[in-house]
Amino acid sequence: MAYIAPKDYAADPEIVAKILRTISGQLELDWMKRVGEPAAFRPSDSRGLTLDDINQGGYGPDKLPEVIRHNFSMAPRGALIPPGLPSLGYRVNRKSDVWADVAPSLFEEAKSRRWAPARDVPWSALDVPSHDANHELALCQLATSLISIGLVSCDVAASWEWRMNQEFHEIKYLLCAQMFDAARIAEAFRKRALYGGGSLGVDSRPLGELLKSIFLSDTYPEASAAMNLTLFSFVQALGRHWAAHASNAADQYLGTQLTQDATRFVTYGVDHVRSHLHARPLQAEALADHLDLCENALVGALGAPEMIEPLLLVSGGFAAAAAFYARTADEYFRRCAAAGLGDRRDASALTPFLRMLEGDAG
Amino acid sequence: MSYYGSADYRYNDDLALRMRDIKKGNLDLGWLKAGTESRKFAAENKKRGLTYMDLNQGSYGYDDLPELPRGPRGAQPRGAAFLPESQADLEPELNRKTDVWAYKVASFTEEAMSRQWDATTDVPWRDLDQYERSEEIEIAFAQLCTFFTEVELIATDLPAKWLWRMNNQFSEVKHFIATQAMDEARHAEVFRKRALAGGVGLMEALPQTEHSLKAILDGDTYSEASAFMHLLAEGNVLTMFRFSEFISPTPVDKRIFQLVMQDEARHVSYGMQHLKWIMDHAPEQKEQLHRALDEGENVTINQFDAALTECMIVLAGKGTKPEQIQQGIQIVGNMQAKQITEYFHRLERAGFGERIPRSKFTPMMADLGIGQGVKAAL
Repeated sequence: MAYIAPKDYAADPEIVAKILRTISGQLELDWMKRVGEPAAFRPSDSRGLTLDDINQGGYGPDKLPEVIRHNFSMAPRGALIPPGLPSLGYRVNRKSDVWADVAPSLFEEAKSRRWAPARDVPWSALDVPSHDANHELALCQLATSLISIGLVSCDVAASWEWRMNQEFHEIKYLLCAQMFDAARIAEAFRKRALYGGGSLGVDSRPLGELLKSIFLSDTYPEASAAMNLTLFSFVQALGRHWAAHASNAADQYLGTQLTQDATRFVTYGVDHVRSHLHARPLQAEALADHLDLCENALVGALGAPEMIEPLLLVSGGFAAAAAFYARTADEYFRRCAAAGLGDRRDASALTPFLRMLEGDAG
Repeated sequence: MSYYGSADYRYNDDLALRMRDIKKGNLDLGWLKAGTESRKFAAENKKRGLTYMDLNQGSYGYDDLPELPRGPRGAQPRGAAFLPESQADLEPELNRKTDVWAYKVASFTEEAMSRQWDATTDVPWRDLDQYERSEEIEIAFAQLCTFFTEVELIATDLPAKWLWRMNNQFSEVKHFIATQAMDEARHAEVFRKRALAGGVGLMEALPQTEHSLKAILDGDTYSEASAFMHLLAEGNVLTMFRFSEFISPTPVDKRIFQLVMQDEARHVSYGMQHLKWIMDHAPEQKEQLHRALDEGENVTINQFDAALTECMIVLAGKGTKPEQIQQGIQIVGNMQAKQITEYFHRLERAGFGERIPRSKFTPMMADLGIGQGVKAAL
């Protein structure tokens, strides 16, 4: 046990005496006078009582300082903070390291757009084969990669959530939603691969290296940029691609849901990086360095036979798969620019890779 | 950057040659010969849908997962083909099934996925205006909500602290923990919203509570932390939720407690089933768990002496007049005794009944004379 209380309370006569006083009806009730900022917030529209509705005055994030110096406990933001609260060891204490104005809305969206793979996917639509055996194996291989992405993305969100100061509770909520969403990606595509006589494919080392590069990011802004912006731009595009090439209702549904969930990651990533660089422009270099390395790893994952070949089979040929990569990279570069990272095309390892794919073969 | 991949793909002849081959139609297709198992998986119960339990077969299942899954340390899903020497090692720290596993964890996960709710829309917030509450009742309820907002996020931080250290072979447990993090974020959200909708706002944080939370977060092992958090702390909170539904000042508040209770019960059940798994598969860990719970119970005792107890007394007695206080004390005393007896029952059901005579609660409750129910349980 790492934490040892300052007293053996079970043997503390003071505690027993206080409890006995309470039992005899001698309440102190002094806590009733320690009231903070009054609040009686109500829903502003038919959506219900949202985080934006209650984020007002001292309860909202607007007055949060850039560096949290006053609270390292689990006291909720806006509560009165008495002396004697312990530090819970938070390591991420700068607002600009985590904040994105869109985060509270994204958390609300994550809850309202809930779905459960077990019963919401029309699995029986897979009972009648709607494509040939190799096409099905290609989907199973892509699903295997998506499971890995879901598993490690859940780890990435988890590995940072518990280190964040409670003053940023909306971001912590959102990271919990990311853990949930990422675990659901792993669940849904595991079930997709295995349903009705399917099987999992092979582990892709280059994909594993990409995921490890993100997982072992040194700072949260680096992890967020690499996962939310880089990785999930690809995941979102893959979701759209999966739905667009679906030949049954189950795949149509899975692709649509994947796109919807991945979009929340991307949206947070863009807004977070933008806020971070707005507050701390000198961090642009560090983020760019990290993305250089992660994009290099992404090229390895995209070029691995376990990724590009099943994509080619599902897409209907090399040209279609190459066009998918080019489109995805273009969207990604635009997002990087919108986030304040400038034009990354020249620096990115994706650019020479896309050039390799260009040409007349198809 | 802590990790650099094995290749620089800007200058990589292998990649260039591979792309040239693929363009020409010469595919590797090694992945088509994965050699993984193919089984006929289907939903056993169509209404429930395709569950993890339906997939629990052969190399894809969790029943056949050994205590020490040797080899896999990366992102590969259980049952996928991989080469141990070429996987990207994520360096997981929890690699024994006993470290994390619980009976019924797959069904807890499925239940969590199917019973998600939304604090924004599933609570009739506007109805709060229909119910009159005295100022002292609203203040007491605001203190209770401040406490719940404060404690619920420990159950996101603690699971998150351990989830990423777990081997991906234990994906059902990791998924359960992710659902718990989401559940608890929603709990913190709903109690914050209630405190900020009632007119009083948030009140004061509780130092005694915070020391308990720190003790939970700082557990040396996942199993120690789970015994303290899932079984003891969340068990106590579950009893408080039931009690709080009973003393809720409005139907809106009752609705909140009904929603959070079902989640909390699931978390406590996981903790009990994890402890039971340890008792059945690694009984040598008993002494270590005893020591963790010795200290867990110690910091919990300190919580009995707090604004928390008094705010519940005011709510239970419906006011601060002497006769109301007396009634409140009676009700809260019964609730606290129930917290202890339920904790002891859970220990027994987990096969750890030997803990009860050693528990720090046992002599204390007897000394205070509020533990008739506890004595009956012994």
